[in-house]
Amino acid sequence: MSKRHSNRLRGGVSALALAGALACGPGGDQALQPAAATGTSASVAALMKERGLSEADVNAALKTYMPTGKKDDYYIFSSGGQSGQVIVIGIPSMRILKYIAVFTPEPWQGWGFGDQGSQDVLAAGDRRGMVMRWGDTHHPNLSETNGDYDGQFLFIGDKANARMAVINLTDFATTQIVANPILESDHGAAFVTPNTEYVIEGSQYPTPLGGAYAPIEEYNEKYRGAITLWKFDRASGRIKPEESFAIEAPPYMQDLADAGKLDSDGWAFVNSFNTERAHGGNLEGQPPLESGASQNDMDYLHVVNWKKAEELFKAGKTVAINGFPVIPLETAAAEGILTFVPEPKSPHGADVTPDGKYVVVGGKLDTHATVYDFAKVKALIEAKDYVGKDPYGVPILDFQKSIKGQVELGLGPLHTVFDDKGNAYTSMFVESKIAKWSLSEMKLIEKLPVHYNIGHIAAAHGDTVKPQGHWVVAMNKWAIDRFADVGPLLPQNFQLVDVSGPSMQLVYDLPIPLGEPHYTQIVAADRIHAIDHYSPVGSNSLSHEKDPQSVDGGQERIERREDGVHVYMTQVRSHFTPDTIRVKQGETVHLHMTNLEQAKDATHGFGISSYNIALSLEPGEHDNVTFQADKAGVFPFYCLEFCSALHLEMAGYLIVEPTSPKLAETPKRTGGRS
Amino acid sequence: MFQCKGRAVLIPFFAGLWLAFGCSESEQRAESSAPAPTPPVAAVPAADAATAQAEAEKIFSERCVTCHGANGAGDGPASAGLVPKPRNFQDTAWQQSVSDEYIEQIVQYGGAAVNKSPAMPANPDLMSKPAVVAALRVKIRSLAK
Repeated sequence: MSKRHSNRLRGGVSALALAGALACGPGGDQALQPAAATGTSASVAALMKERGLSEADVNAALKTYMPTGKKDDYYIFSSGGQSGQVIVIGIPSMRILKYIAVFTPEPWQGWGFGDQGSQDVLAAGDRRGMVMRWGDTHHPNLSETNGDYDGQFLFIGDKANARMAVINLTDFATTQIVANPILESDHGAAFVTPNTEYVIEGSQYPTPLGGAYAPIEEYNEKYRGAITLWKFDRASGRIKPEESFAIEAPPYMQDLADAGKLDSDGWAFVNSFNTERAHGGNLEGQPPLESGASQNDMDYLHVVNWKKAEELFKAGKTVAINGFPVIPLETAAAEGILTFVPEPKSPHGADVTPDGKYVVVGGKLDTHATVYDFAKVKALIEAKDYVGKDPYGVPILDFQKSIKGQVELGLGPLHTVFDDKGNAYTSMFVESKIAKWSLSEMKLIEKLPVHYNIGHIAAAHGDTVKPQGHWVVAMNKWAIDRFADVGPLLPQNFQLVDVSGPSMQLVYDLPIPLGEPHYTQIVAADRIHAIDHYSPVGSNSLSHEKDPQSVDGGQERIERREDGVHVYMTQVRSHFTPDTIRVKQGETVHLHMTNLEQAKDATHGFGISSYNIALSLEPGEHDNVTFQADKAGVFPFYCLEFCSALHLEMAGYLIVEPTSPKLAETPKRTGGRS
Repeated sequence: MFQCKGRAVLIPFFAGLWLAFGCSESEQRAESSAPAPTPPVAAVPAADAATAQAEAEKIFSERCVTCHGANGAGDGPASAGLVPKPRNFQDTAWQQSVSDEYIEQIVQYGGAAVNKSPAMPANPDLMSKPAVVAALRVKIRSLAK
């Protein structure tokens, strides 16, 4: 339905056509036009005049407006930046559909506020024993089959704490967080191999691997980066740390990455900056980090043979660092697993073309997109035709012999995506523009201003083997003057661009008001197969199987055992059973709660005062909560979702009897008039 | 100023608008606190009727069974905690005592709309799907013993 809707718009409704009809007015074909329409056309003309809308504005509105009940053609999965979440948005309407809680506790989804399952997931991502309460989500990556999105899973990295999360796209819920045992920060994460064999996590800021200490003066000798390959098991939907490994890298700052596909399957490409190995010290007589890191004209594109690395890992040619298997740098260099090709300074995106034949690199401080020819790179590696080695023995290829060419785009080329017509779209950070250019002709076609400071860019299936074209999204870091003022902290600005015609057209601005997003991916809606309730009733939302503690209707009860008070509770519109829980101060309370509903959207929440507990019980879902009833008093609990006309009545009491009779006395009232 | 050739393209656009007006009555009704009578169900083509019946079966299993039970005996898994108990659709005397319109009204607006238990929720998304409501009514009728 929504496809047809969109196609109809694509097919012909233009602002000119609309305006044409407006001008025709009553003179038009009355037999074919309902009476209401002529009046409406006049009102649209009046609206255009009143609001000062141009034909292009109306055209943009018609391309993006979704009448109520119509669904979008595409999903955007966006990083939520330092919110630690993932944002789901529809195209073309740009309506925000969901925030998925990932690294940060989030009460609407009951993520980390008492529910044992989500607390276990968050706890599994602890750093040095501390459960992190935030993350800096950067690069979401959808699972792929044969190099195209299959809509099953989403992976996202946490730059701040070097972690990786897995999101199940049947219920849009996080199911796993793994903490990298050797890195402190990441950036090229997550990037999947073409059949999601591995999820790649590249480091950002070098440190001694494995959480070790070394003085900063020993930066060159002791600090390292690494490229981690997390093994993904599709059947269980989980990363398997025990089958994962890393490749040690020099202490350059590794950046964005992409996995090869088709011709370049089995390889991965990772950018780097700071081959100068600057490490700051601007109060200690050293140049500031950012100027020290941008002295050289070239940095190194890391060309990684991950298939061969996998063989070495399986052959045991690794060392254990903090218990994690790592292929040492000297082994990686000697075995041809890691090879460098010079790349224009301070690059950002390393983007493999849909046919897998080329890698496009945007150098932020260069004016070109550089297109590497993988066949040439591979031939040079096989022939061991090197121009030298870096200080760590990693072979370096000749720049000119490795490239197809360079395209002059302008200032600040950053990241590139592709459409279905052989065009590439590169974000131009410094210029605040999108550059559209032809991959085959290596020629700039057009530039479109965006607002402002565009970072990443995304296109529909734009980094797969089958880009779908039509839509591009500019992820602008600054909004400046685009929206109503909201104080000094401004939202970011996602701008939707229609690239289906000969010229790019900016059609929508979406402020992103929670965290600074980085990368997004855009997937056709028909690839996503979401459930609308958990079945059978009593399912655990992590395992999607019946929870051993689930409660059947009629089996609600309160049991006192050695380990505390077990409350087996159900929810159905509009009551909790039981709705009165009596415990003694200090007792351990175990809540086992099942939402008996199977109706779509019949979610119940569970919030309780003063105990920091908030749950989301979606239809059929079961949650377990354990807490210490250490505060005496009377604590109302209630349903957090407006579930029915009697929602406000869906409530109950936790009554915690004091251990000391003194506490049972009515608090003395003080103050006021006597 | 503008060319009239655009008009032909626009007709489907306005036709859509016209359809939207056609739907607005039920939408307005959904927002009103006092339920209006169920509109008469027009004759439905066989293919559409089959689709509506399939949707009704799915809705019945997901929304109704929880309280009313798979066979409509009022013995669904959530029935234990309900006072009064969910309606037993197998009760022939009850079936004979109520009209089709009454059943369709409860399906759409919930028990509170007919002074019955408010625990029977409204189904506002069905107010624009009279064929599905009718199929649900047929399903409920078929459960009589």
